[in-house]
Amino acid sequence: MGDGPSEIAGREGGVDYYSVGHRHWKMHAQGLVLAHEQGQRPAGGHWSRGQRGVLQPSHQPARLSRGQLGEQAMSRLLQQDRITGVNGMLTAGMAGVVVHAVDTGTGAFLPVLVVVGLVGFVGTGMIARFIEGHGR
Amino acid sequence: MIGEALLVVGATFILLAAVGILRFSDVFVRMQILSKASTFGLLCVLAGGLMTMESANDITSLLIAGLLHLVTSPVGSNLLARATYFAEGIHHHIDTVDELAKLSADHALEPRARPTAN
Repeated sequence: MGDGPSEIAGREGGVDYYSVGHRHWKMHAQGLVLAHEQGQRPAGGHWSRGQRGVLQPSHQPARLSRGQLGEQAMSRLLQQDRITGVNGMLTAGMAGVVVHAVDTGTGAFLPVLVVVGLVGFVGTGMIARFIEGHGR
Repeated sequence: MIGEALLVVGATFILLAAVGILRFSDVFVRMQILSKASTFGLLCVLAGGLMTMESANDITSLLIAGLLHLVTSPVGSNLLARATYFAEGIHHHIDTVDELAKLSADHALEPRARPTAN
């Protein structure tokens, strides 16, 4: 194996995994075999979080957006600004759900997007009616 | 790879929308920046997810979410902007043409009367 790994990087399903650089190895009865390389889906399995390095730049803007829009929702005086901030937080949260789904390869939470889209719209309409009736 | 690039671009657009919401001064401008930039960003993210996910269930969820957001986001923003325009006590500044003022004058639209307690 030449430049094979020497330290255990993790254990999953009773199998020891080793990592050297972007290559991941697993222990078989016949010795260490190459499990998968970075950027390739493990055979017969899902991505574990963070295996796709290219997606890390997507997590940070989504987190930052949620923070900034949360500040907008909490600190502004007008109802309109608050509901605008909450809408933005919902959008950034939806983006975060998609990035997480792509990152891990599991789309278990994707139906949440549909529910959030519907509930957000109904909430916005209700608050618009409230503002129209009561002013600020 | 294109899917992941779309994810990064979409997340960046949503971040730009969040920065714009904190930086701009007028309430209508803040609503506009959220409606346009974040919708485009979310659609980019959903398109990236569509290119990357393999299961039919996931693709269907992403498609429905995208269509729903595309339909509901402008309507919700319009409702909110109209309510803001007619609400009392909120200062706003229209730069060029105030089409809603002419429309409301033609049809004698008035701000909704406050409900009175019996």
